[in-house]
Amino acid sequence: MSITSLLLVILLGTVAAYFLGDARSRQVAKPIGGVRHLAALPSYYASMVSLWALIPGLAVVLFWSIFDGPIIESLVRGVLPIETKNLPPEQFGLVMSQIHNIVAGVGSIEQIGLEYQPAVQRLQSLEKVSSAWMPILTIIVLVLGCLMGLAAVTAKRNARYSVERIFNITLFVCSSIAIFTTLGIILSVLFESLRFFEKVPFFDFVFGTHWSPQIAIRADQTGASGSFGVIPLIAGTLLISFIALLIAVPIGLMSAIYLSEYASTRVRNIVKPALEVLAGVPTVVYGFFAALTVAPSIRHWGDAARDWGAANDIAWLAGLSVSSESALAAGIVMGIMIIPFVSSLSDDVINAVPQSLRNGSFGLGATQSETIRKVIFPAALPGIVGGVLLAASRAIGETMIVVMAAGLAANLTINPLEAVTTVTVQIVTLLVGDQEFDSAKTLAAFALGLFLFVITLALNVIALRVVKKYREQYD
Amino acid sequence: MNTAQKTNPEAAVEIPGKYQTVGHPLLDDPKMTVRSTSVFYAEKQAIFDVDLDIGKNEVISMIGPSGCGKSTFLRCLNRMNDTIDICRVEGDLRLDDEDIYSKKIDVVELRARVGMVFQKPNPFPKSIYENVAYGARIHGLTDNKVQLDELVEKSLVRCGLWNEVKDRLEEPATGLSGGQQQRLCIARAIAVGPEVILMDEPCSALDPIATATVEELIHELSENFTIAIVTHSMQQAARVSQRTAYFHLGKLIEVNETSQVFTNPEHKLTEEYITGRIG
Amino acid sequence: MTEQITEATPMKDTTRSLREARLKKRHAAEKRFQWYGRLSIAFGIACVLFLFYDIISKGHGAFFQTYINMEIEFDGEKLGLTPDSSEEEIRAASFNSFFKKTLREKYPAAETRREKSQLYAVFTSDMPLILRDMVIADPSIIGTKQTVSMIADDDTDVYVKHALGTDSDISRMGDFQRSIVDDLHQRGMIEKKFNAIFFSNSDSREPELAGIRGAITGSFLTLMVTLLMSFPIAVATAIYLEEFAPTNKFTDFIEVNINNLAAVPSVIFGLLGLAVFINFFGMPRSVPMVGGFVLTLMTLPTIIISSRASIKAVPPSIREAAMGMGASKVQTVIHHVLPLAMPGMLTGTIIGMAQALGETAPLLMIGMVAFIVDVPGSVTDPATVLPVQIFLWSDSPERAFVEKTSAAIMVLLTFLIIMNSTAVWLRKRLERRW
Repeated sequence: MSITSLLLVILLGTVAAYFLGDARSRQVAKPIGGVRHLAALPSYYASMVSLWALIPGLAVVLFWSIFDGPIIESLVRGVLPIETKNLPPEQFGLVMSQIHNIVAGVGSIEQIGLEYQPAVQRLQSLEKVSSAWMPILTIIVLVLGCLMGLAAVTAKRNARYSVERIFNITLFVCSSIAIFTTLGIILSVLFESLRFFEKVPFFDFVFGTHWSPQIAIRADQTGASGSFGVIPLIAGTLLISFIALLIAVPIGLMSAIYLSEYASTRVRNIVKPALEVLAGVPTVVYGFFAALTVAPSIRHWGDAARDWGAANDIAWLAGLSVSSESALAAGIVMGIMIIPFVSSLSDDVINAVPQSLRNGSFGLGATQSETIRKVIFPAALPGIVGGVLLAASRAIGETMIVVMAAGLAANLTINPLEAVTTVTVQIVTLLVGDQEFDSAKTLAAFALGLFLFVITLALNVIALRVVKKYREQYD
Repeated sequence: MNTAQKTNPEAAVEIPGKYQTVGHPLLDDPKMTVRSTSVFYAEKQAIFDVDLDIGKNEVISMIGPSGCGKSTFLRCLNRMNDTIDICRVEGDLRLDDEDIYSKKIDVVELRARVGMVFQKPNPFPKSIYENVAYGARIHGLTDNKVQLDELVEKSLVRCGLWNEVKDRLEEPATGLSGGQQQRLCIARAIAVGPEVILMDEPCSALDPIATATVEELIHELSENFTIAIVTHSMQQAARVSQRTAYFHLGKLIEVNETSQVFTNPEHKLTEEYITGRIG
Repeated sequence: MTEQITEATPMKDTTRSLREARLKKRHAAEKRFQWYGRLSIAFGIACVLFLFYDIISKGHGAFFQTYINMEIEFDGEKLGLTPDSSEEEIRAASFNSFFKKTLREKYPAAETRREKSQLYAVFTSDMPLILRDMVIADPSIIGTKQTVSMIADDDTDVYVKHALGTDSDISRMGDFQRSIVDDLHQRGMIEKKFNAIFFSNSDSREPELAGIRGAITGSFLTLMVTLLMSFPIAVATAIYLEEFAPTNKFTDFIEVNINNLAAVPSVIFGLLGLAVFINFFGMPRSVPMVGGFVLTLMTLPTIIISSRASIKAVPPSIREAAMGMGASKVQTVIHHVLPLAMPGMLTGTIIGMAQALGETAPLLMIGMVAFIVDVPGSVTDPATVLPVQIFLWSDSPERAFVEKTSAAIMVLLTFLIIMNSTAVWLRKRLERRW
């Protein structure tokens, strides 16, 4: 019986329990003069009974699926030959997976040796027992729970309290998922990073200026010092993000100012959603656009400029070389992507500036642009800075555009026409495809992830705090 | 004479039509003239066909119950209503015989000539000095720092604020008390060199002591400036103004010498307002 | 005061002339400033238009596919089959050599090995299999002549669409192949038809056979998992935080977490999925279920934040009215607050789903980048999703894949536009203003 059908059975059981509970409560109510003499409505008794059935049932399935693997594993381990047990973990895992494959009908026992016969048989029988007993136990627990629930249906017991308590607990558990997610992110990147730093010294990672993870794999060396220097990645990330902000901040800010201070309602109602379209376009589309349209045109113009420079003896132009995966292309497209982000954040903070300040300025005979530049902008500056920080955090964490358009070469350069690589590109490159989970290369991705998480988190915390402070100023 | 004389004052708005303002709304040699002026917010009419003159170097106060349109009327005088999209002004408004709603008039220059002080003190979130210097900077009134310093000092002195703030000119203006902030806003307005100053309930957000200071200041400024002040406080109107205009539901009911309005109102509605029967 | 009176009047006149001297300059600055604003907006709008123009101009061709209508004689002798042959016999027959032989007979000019292979390459390499399937479907065609609409190879397709009758050399075809296509064109055998393959097939190494059905199914399954997980959890969280949570440090902590998660780069969620779901819980790679879990965690903050906003928008008077009648807090929330806040929550959910539909990076981390030919049947089958398919195709060297990629992008954008306009519509129609 698969998990899906078992869950379906539990669901059916729950529904059945609901109706039983409803019937039972009416039955209880009859001799005492009707439903109105019960402590709670029949629907609450019904919900109570169904919860009595549902919760234990689900718990059995959950615990069973979590623990049956490890328990069976340890039981099978007991009948393995002693030398197998002493194998290093990776090879032991290989043996175990071969045994699992044989039980699943892939391969034959002869391939791995007859000494594993008892283990295979043991596993086979245990799995049979497990798959037979899980549904049986679940159903027993479900029925028992339902019966106990029914027994609890009495006129005095206020079923609403129990149901509402469970409701509250469920809500609370759901809200805690946010915390567990954060915790999960921190723990997963932190642990893998620590393992990485066992292989590659921390300072080599942070201060190294050379990044070429491939070398470490090929030479099969652990801790190939110098190959995992993160500086070029940071430089590349910052270069691309800087170009992006250079485009997005002025344009986003000016658009927001124009729309909120000048544009008529009609224009605003048309232009605003049109700009928001840029925010709804998936990043993979921007990546495609950057790689197939923007990067080739930049290269084309660069070549044209070089030829022109050569023809006219302009030395610096003649020496121009544009990489086909230039930082400029990725940066420009990323900038376009975050224009609506900057503009909607600026719009919020500009609108938060009280009208009285505008009136004050107009009343003195200031023009609108003077009012904006000298009163509104300075007043909104903290909020705008917060918005720019959030935009920067988004640019740093952006992945698909750079994966598709920025390339893999870890050049340490500030020339936007050269190819650079970024932290996110490396995370993706290191993890896509089949990798051994313990290699320094794979672990490096988690160290980069930790780095990325810390940087973006810091930017966000600062930005949110700045924006909040700013809001309070005018509340 | 008009519908407003009926016993039910509410009927005044119900029946549209020409009405007559009682008292003396017109003057010889006025600073500003307002003729047949109506104001609309989208479809809703807020001011009905007002005729009024504002004399040179006089303080005229506008009183009336809330929503009577006195603030709206004030904002017509320097075209602050332009900042509200749905607001439309009809009629003939002149400053020194120039039509202030004509295309030739530069609204920026108009607002420099007709300054405004608002209900709630609204200093810019900048230093005290920068607040006063702001107008001079945007209008290019001074050539150098020395002149600017001088202008700032002069404006602050005239508002009686200099002695209180001269040691902390670089501190944020938002740190001043309410009354000081309002006087700063007045200083800010006079630094631009206006001819008329409009004040929209300048003391409503202030405590009595601060109110007294600001009233004193209005009194002093009236020697050099024409001042139009909207107030919800009849006592204040009586204290600071020479003439008083009473507005009721968008109509200008009565204009007279302040003393006469408060002691011997001509119009029944004015009397009811003064005596507190409506308000 | 007296000394100031005397200087007041001259001061007014000088300041007025000073002011007027600068007016022109100030108005010019004002105009300039407005133009900066207009230009910024124009740039933004131009980006939108150019992006769409670029994608559509690159991709519209993919909705049509070149077919070659050719009469083929299903010669029983050549195939070694009769109309009575069983399915096994048909499967065993060599359609490959039959197809090649037929082509050689039609174009005897192909003599060298090279020319022959160029001749075969006019058609998709799966053509023999397609013919075989035709025969399996209807064995009675053996021994008859049939006009078969044959799928052209991607190079032929590109050539027919873009270079026919021109000298441009954008196709990678050899001269002989080109001459055959020209000949087919002159004889009127080439036809461009709506590309149903693109919607009915899954991924393929051959551009002319590649389609998005697998990816769309994968996206659908992944989104379903995401929706079923994220909507209840987000609504529950929003209700808890807005209606039940005590004001204490722990509640603050939850809020801080949600706000920060909203800004965590999506690739980090991919790392989380890889480390927790795949390595720790041992869930399979490349499956929509894990993809859905990761996207759930990613979209939760978005939905929670908008759900909270719509709960907040329900006026307290409604709660007071219900409580005043003796309803419990839970009853108040379920009977009154929730129904009123539902449109806003749905809007937020649709926007979150649109975000999830376009997401690529975290799915790369959990292995949804595999080359998968089958259409996934359940949430535990290996699958890819539409954005990842776009990513994979955009990496392919074949020119024809550029067209396919752009077309897939058009399909993706269509879905997103539908979802977002539904959200806007929902907000306009159902959201009550208080």
